[in-house]
Amino acid sequence: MQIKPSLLTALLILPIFCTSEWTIDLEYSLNGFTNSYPLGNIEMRRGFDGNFTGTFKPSQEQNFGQKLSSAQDETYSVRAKSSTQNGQTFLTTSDPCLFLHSNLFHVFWLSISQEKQQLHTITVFPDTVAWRNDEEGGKYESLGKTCKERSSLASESRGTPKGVVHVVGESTLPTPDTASFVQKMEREKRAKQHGADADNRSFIAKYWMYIVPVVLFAVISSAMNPEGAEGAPAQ
Amino acid sequence: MRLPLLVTITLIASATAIFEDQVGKFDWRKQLIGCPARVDFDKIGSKSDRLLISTEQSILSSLVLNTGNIGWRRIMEDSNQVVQPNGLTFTKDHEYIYSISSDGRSIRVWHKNNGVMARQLTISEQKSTIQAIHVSNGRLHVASGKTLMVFRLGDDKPLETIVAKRERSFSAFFQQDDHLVHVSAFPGDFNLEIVKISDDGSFETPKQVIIDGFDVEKCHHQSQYISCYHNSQLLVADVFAQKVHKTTLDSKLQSISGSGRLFLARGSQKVHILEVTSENGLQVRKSIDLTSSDTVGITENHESIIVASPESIRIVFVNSGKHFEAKREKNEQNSRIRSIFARKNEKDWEIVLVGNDCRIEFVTVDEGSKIVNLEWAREESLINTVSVEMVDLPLSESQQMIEDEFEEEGQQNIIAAFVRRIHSQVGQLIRQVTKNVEKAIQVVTSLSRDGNGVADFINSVRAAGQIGSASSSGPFERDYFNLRKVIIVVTSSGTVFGIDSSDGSYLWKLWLGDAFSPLESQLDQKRVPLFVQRTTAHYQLDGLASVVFSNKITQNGVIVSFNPMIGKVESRNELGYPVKRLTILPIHNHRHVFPVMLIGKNDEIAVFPSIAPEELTPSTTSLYLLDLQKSSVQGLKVDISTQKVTPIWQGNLGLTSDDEIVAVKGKSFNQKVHSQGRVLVTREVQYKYINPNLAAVATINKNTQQLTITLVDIVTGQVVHSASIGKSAKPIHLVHSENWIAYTYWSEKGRRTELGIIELYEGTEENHTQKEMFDSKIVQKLPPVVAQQSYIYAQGVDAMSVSETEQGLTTRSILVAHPSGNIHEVSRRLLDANRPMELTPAMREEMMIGYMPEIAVATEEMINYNQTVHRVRGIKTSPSGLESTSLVLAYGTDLFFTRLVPSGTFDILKDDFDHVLISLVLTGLVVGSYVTKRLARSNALASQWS
Repeated sequence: MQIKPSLLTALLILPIFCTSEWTIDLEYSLNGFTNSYPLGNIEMRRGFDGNFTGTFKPSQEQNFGQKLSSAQDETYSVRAKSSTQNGQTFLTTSDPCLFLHSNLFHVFWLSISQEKQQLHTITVFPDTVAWRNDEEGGKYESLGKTCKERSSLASESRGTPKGVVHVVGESTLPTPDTASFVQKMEREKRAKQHGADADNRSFIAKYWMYIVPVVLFAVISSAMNPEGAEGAPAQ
Repeated sequence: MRLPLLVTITLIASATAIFEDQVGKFDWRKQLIGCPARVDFDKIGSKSDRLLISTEQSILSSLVLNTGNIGWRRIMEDSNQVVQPNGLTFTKDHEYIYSISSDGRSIRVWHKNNGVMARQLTISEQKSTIQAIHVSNGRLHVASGKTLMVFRLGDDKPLETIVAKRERSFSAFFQQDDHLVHVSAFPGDFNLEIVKISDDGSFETPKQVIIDGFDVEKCHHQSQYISCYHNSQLLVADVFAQKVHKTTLDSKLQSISGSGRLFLARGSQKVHILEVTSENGLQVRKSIDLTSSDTVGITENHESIIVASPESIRIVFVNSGKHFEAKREKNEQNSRIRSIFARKNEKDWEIVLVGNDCRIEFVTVDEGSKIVNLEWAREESLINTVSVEMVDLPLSESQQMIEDEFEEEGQQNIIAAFVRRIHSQVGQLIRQVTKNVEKAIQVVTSLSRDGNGVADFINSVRAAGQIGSASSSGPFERDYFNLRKVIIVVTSSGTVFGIDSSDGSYLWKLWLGDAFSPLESQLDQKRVPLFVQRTTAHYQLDGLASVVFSNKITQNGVIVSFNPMIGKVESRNELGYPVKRLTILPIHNHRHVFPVMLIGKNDEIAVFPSIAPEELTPSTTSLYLLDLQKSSVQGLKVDISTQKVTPIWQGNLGLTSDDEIVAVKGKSFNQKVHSQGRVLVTREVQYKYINPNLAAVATINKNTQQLTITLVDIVTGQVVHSASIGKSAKPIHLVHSENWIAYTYWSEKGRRTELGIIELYEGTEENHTQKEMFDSKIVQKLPPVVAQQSYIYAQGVDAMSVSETEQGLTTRSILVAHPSGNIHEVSRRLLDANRPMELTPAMREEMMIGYMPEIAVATEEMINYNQTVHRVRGIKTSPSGLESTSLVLAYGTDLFFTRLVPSGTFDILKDDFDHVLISLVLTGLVVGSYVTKRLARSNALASQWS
């Protein structure tokens, strides 16, 4: 009976291992790795477009929040090991306070190489989407003061870590875009040639804006003139 | 049709060329020749004496002996900026100079009087530093590496060539009467190979001569002898007689030199003067006692020995017992003398002294008066400039009075404050009145001197106005627009200079000592960091600046603090360990000094001057550093109060062992960004992603030729953006400012230089929260939007920098130094990642420039017009008091200083704005209207009477 839950989790994890391309195991510590506990793992899966997406699978640890709140002014360090890079460990640290404030929601910011399937860096952030709505509003800074002074932390911070993964791949730097510039020039040249031929509107259609004022002026002056012509002999 | 039009428009938009009458008004250039390795006295024509100098920076030049000015200067190829201690190998005849150039691959023949190249001859394809050249009997003999050649003068084809099997370790030509031989040695051998050169120019078969203890490092060759020392033993081999003279001296020898038949064998306490004669062989003629600061030289006619020390010059006659001493003016800031080149003319001795600080001094010593006359001196260490800062001049007296007025010295009562205000304002009034009276007197005196007439009057008023504004003649205080500064220049030779930015004159010099050695930086460059710790903004306190270097003997770090205005050393501290890295802290202590933090090899931390824990604010308790190693990158947090270094993140940034880190650029902590966003055509605002903790890292992979630019947040290790491009090569330059990164690289694919730009934006969302402070530890809701673009740049790039202005309001310009010696100003408007391919009318209204794949290099955009600046290694920009103006110093082989106005002088009247004429016209009009009014009135009265 006692083996059953672990067996169950093993059975659950096994198919995930089969489907994911590579995994990153995470463990955390609040005292500089004197004691460390598993945090969960991140599964990296390649999408149809060739880009990787990551999913965070937390470990079923109920008192994660309590551990954090009991070590508020320590450093929350997360150590990562990638299944594709043997012997390399990745480290990231943050403030436990920030995670208490974000209801234990994490953002894991991964920088990877898509071709080599290797992890470059991992950074853990609190998720600002899950920010607690307290009197300070969304404004919250990691600097200054102790944790307690900064926010009214609820003591009910409990539960398991939750998180989303943001993956940054390596993009390519641009090269001078001569091809499309030449294309554009040619297109413009062609448009100009065509445009010259195509403009076969009538003379009036083309220059009505010059003709109308002249006509208007003529009309108005002729309308004014008869009076003047009548007035002049009267004097 | 469109293309030329567009090109013309872009040219008009950014044409900032100067007018002819502005030449030299704001700018100056210092041409340098470098540290002399060999100096020859020479005569051109019948009267003008010249010095022919070949320097460690592979420059051949001719100085006018009377003035020290450069007659001509030829800059050779730079073999990766390697210092060549022996300079160029050259020889001369009555008309030409023959030099071996391009690392021993070619010979160049120069006209002696004007430095024009007459011919270039090829020796071989192989590089070599073992070179020798000799000209005689109408033939030119050359040895370089394995090759030995003879040319008839004027021919391009060699008469004869011998190629040895091995690379030589020593090579020299010797001549006695009409006999000429070439002597060479091969590494590891004790034999000398002697090749006789017959009268018709052909080589005879080599002969071997054995010299025991021949060591190239410890030998010297002159006229017909090779002299070597080994402990206290001295060997002199006569090449023609093939005879070896030996003698043992009473002390251990340190160096050997000599000329003609004389040898100077220097020990630690004394120098022995030896002579070879056919009757007696090698014999000691004289011994002179020396101290460690003495340097010994010999005149060209081999008759007298010169012993120079910082205090005096001693002249000892070889053939008689006579000697005398002439006192020199001692200057603590000049180093010990490294080498002496001297000759005797009819009246006196002419001596060229070259110091360890690369100072060239030309002195004459007169036997009768026993006085050392300094004719001229040149500071040539500036060619090795590594760090530059520009410091404001101290406040002027009137500015100080204003500062005094608002100084809050405790709570004073209202009357005291009133009295102080009245007092300072009276003081200002008095100053103003005296200044104006002085000016009026000047005008009156110049008027009475120059004659009369309106034109003369206007001219003299103008001249008076110019006297007031001309900064160089003014007192040593800040000018109205803060355009005049003190430029502090630190060189890798161990000197620090204070240079007046208005005319380039030296204000002071500081010699950092014989034990000076530059720091080795992460990117394998010589580095002597300079920090301005306290500016002159606090007028009660003097400015403070520091340089950090390492001790040559102990390798420990040394920090020297000095007053940047007068160059007076305030403190000198030597650490107990070598410095690994160092930074200036962004917080100041109660004396307004920004401390410098030095971190040792084993993470020892020292802070100069120390900072008390209570002076730290919560936001400044720790400092974050980036530690780049091969294939491992760490973020370190340095706690300033507890002085502990802890790693806070670790990763690899994708670096492998094949990757070479080319450049790492962060941002200075006091950079100002005026506008937080950019208005788009759609009237939306695109907010800039301004992260002060962002560093740009450029790496190049040796195998795949892939250039990668990674933007990493140092506090958290977050990779904000990472991008790469294949088929690229060095030189790679990187500039990081505000929210953008500009980079250049050589594209192997296009076989051209390309200039790229990356811009980061937070996006156009309306709910953009105006944060008071950027916080690295809290992730943005959306990752930054990256805009990138790349352009063809039709020139090579030696150095790249960006303009800096007071408030960061002016559009920045990127300054690009070309190998051809130009400095090109590229406006950010052109180097923009958002130039649209298709221009809509709305965009045209916004004055946007359409995309063109090439950034045109126009001659009007050269900030140094025709003042060529060679081998630029760095460009330093600094803000002035005017928002439109940025001060620029480019350094390399030459120094060039100018003012830069990236968006034109929008906040200052034109240089040629005629105040005098306008005020004269105005007063004329007022007076005229008054007079005509009177006239009209009297006229009207008269007409009514009549």
